[in-house]
Amino acid sequence: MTPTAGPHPAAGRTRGIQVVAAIIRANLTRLSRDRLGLFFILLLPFLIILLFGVAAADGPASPAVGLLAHDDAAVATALVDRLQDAEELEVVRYGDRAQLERALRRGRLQAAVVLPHGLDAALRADETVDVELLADPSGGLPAVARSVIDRIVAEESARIEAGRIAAATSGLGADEARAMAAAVDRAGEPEVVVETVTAVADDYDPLSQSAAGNLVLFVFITSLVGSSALVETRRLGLSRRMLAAPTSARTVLLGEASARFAVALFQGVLVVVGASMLFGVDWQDPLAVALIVVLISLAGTGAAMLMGARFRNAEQAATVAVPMGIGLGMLGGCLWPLEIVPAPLQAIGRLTPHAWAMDGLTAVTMRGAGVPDVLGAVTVLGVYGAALLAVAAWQLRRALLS
Amino acid sequence: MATVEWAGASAPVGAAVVACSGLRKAFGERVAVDGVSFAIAEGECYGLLGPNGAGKTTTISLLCGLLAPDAGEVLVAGAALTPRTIAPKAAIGYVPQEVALYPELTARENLVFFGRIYGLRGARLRARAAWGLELAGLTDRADDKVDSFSGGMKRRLNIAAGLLHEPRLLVLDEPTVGVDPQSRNAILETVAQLSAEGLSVLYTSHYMEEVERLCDRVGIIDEGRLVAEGARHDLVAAIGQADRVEVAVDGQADPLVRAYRDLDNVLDATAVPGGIALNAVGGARLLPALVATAGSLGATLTSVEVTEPNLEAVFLHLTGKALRD
Repeated sequence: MTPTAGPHPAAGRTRGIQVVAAIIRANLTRLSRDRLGLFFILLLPFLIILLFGVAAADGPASPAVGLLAHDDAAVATALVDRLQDAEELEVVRYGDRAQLERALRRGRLQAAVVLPHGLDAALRADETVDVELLADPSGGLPAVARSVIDRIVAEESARIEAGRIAAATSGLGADEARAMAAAVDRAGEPEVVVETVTAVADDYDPLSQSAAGNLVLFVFITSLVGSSALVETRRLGLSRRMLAAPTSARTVLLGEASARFAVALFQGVLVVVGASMLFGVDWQDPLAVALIVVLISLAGTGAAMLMGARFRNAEQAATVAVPMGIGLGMLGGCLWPLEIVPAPLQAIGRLTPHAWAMDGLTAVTMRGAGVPDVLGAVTVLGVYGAALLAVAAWQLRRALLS
Repeated sequence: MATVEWAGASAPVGAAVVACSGLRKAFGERVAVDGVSFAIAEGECYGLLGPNGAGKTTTISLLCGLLAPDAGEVLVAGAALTPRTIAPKAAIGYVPQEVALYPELTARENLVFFGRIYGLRGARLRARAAWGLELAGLTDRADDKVDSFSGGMKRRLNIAAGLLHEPRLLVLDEPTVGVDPQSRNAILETVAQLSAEGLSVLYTSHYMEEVERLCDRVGIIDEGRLVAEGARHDLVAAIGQADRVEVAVDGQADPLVRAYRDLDNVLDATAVPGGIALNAVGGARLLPALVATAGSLGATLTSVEVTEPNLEAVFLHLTGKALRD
């Protein structure tokens, strides 16, 4: 070997692009040889969407329906008996609303019926009564449950009406008959209205919710898991070696960030295309969805870079990444709509970029919103991405050059 | 700690591939490098010898532009080098103490990666990667992943990755740590060969034998300060320690002991089983006089062994502690 003056065939910006491309390529090659990483990126999101998809498409044979009756008078008792006798439903009685809602949130129930206080009295007073029908927000209300409950309530409503006519035409006491007649005269037909309460919009679509939730969830989890490779790059001294080359720290950081962004973006695009092709999810506005996917990928990249700068070893980062990703997803409304959780948790959830990405995606996919309609969510998401990337770059640069 | 004045040991800055002066770096209260100055001439192999934690790696980090000094400067081929400068770094091939290679990539992929980082591409990149594989003795394992390699193979590839862009100065930070004796020898031979071919080398180690074997000049560093610098024999001579000469005598030893004590440059002579032990300045140069004196007294020397004080002794003399304390 004859050492000579160091030649530099590429120069300036071209050279920087070459370095960035080399770092991206090396990272993607590493990922392609990581079986666990590939499982997370390629298979797991679709397994989960598939589970939700199957559940949404078929539903259980006998949906579990919770029943909470605050009234034990005649009409309420009749409704309870009819519901419990319905072969299509598996009715579970609850004595407490909090327990009922908890069971619903945890997926032990697909729906719940709440008979209000003073149901009989209200009906006798010829007032409209709301029977609440609560649905499991992640799985939606099974059609069979809605149909059976509607039928039973309608039949009981008809009986009440029939009884009213009978009272009006029978030899009941004059006062009672007058009261009944007056009531009928005043209010026309009494009614029992089944009000479906899901705490989410009427246009709620469980499959779209699931696809959007998994998109955001897995873009972030994949990014965070990828932070372990960055920690390893630091720990092995690869970053220092790159920084000793005739290239700037900025270029090396850009290369590492670009590699992580490429993986996050790939994950997002894969979920969008896969959910569309496999489960028929209609993402509606491609531009708006693309914008949100890019921005949540940037936020995920920033979070991954930050973890990559702060953790001391790859095992530590990998151990924390998945629980953290799932936790943030839960807080941010990826696993269920944020609207169904208590207000304090909603407020905390709003601190995650996930919540804003979900806002944007559900608006686009379920309400047909376009880019102008989701500008608020997109802006917040962009701020998250920029802030996380800036802090991460600062921290990583410090970690590498100190 | 003992102090010694060292005169004119550094290579002239004008002829230096790298020259650093007054380098200082502190991490909080701890001063890692304190006023370090040295220069490495074209084709010179310079050893930085010191125990773990002496400041060798920090000095290298400053010299390679990985850290910004609190004071002082580094000139590479006359150009100032800091973490923000780029071009001068091309003259340096940095081989870190760690095996800084992607374990999931093959040997060839790693070399191609670092070649790209250093701006190589196309046919030249492929040729240099092939050269690096050959240098590391891994041509037949080129497409095997690095994590399947032994420690020695990884170390050799680690060095090859630092040479792809044909630097003027190769900086090796403890390249034999954790390496088996055979691989260690192979690494030392490679460095010696590169140095013989004209490559400037900065070699840091806490292994005195490696530095003695490879380096033209040595800087001894302790607690962040360069406490001595110069060619090995100059360092040894400067601390005033005598050589130990042991002779095996066929004949009467006692008259010879007395005669040897009268010779110039002999500090002491004592009879030992089978011969005589002397402390002398310039022991090797005394051999003719030792043989002649023995002959004049009718004795015959059957063997002579001269042991010069080594860098370990120099380090002990200067710092009051052993290199591996």
